[in-house]
Amino acid sequence: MARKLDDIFNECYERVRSGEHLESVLSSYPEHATELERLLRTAFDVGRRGSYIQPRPDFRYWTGVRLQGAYQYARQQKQKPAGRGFNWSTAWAVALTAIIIVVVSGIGTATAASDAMPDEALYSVKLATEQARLALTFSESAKAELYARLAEKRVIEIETMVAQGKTELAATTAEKLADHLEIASANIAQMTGAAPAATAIAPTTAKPTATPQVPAAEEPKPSPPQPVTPSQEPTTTQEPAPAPQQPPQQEATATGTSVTEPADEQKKAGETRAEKMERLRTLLEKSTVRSVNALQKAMEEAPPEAKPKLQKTIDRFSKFKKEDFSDHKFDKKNPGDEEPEGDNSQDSGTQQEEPSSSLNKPSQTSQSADNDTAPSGQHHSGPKTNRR
Amino acid sequence: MLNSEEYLVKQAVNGDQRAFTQLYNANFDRIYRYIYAKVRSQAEAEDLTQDVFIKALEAIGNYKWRDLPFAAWLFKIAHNTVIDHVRKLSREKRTEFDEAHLATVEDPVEMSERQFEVEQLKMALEKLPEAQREVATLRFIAQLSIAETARVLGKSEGTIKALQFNATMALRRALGRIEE
Repeated sequence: MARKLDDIFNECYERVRSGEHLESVLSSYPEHATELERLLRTAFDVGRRGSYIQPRPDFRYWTGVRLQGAYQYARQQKQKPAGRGFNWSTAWAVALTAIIIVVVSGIGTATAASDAMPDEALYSVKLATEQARLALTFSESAKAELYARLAEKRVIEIETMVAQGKTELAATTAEKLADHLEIASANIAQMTGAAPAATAIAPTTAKPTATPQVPAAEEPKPSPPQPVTPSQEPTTTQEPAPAPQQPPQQEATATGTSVTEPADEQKKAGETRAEKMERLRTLLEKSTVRSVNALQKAMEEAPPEAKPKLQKTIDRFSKFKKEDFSDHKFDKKNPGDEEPEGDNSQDSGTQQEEPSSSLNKPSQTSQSADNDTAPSGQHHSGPKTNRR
Repeated sequence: MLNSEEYLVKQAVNGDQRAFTQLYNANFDRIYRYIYAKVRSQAEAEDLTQDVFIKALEAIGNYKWRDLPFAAWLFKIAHNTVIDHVRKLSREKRTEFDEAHLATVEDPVEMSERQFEVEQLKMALEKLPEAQREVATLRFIAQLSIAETARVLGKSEGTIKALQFNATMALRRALGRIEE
């Protein structure tokens, strides 16, 4: 009995799909070759057109985050009581709160919130989604990276608030920034402890005084591998894929301005641990200097009753800078002194060099840290994407 | 010996988050694509895709490989979710169809060509009878196997092959006519 053409077509389709050449497949059925070729071309044309349809990257990412949160929460409910050390319940409560906010308010809200300023209603959503990301980030290195990015966002917020004359909000935001900087520097210090080679670059950061308010108990014991960016293609290999696919940076940064350029991302992919620490330190230094400059500008124009709070915040930064970052960049006495050799080489190519316009003491001695310092009143973030 | 997907599913059922994430990454786009091809609205496709994975998450603890391969299980959830959605919508006012979000390419000309080709595909699929459209979407767009498609739709493999053949002929005519 003759085989039905639909069966033959299916066989040919599967053979081509598994990599066999079309001509070779058709040669098996010369009597149907013409018809089969047309149909096979149509079937693969449909597949090709269909493959253009893709979910929006931020939709894919946030659905993944929500599912991971829900999955972990369900597991945790099963496995109560929680173990010692890392406080899962707290971390996931925070994450779930943010997740609920995102679910209730919708993806559009979360995306809109990413641009929110401290004086806007969506700012709380922005902070909550940041907390969700932090709760879902486990390694010291990834946390330090994230805190450094959040610090950059806070700086933009501070500068915006100062420019609008909202000194109270600027000071409150600066407090948040100081928290980020402290934790980030603590993470870096911990990384330094784990990587002796890195201490050679900036031994000062490993000082015990450089690790205030370390949430050590909140770290999971075995640090998972560095965050990965899984490939676009579905994979069924057994290689671990611990994170949902990340959207492009601008969309992945669900909490605000895109602070990292694609080229910078590419550069980061191949960097060593020591290079990463140096890059993060530089980022943190810049955030510090920019915010101090903005706060000092605010001081000049603030009403007398607002000045003590601003001064207190500035003092916190000043103390923080000296103790926590590579102080050799801040403590040079003479503006004419050259940078130590190789000091800033890690960042070459990623930062625009501009004349310093800093108003405070460190700015005179920290050319590298001031590169991104905007002239007063301007929201300048160097080569990076600006939000408004 | 377990195949890699079966192993991953086993791990996910036992609480391995990485396995779950990997399954998510492997299936998310094609589930979305399948749903979009059915509802032709990006907003609806997103809502439904999310629903599918939440349902899958809720049910994965009871999932058994021997009853249904994982992809077929997931697509069955998607299929049923879309059916429920369409049934509900038929009682309400149908929302407007909208353009799909496409994978970005740098060349704007190529991008609009792609958009055009996807619109043609949607029009061609629209012309098919429901059963043929379902098979063509699962086979050619979601890339399920014949066996998986048969399981999702609850039909025999022979029936699926026949539907697939007829769908392909109809698509060839429809796409040819649209392109003329």
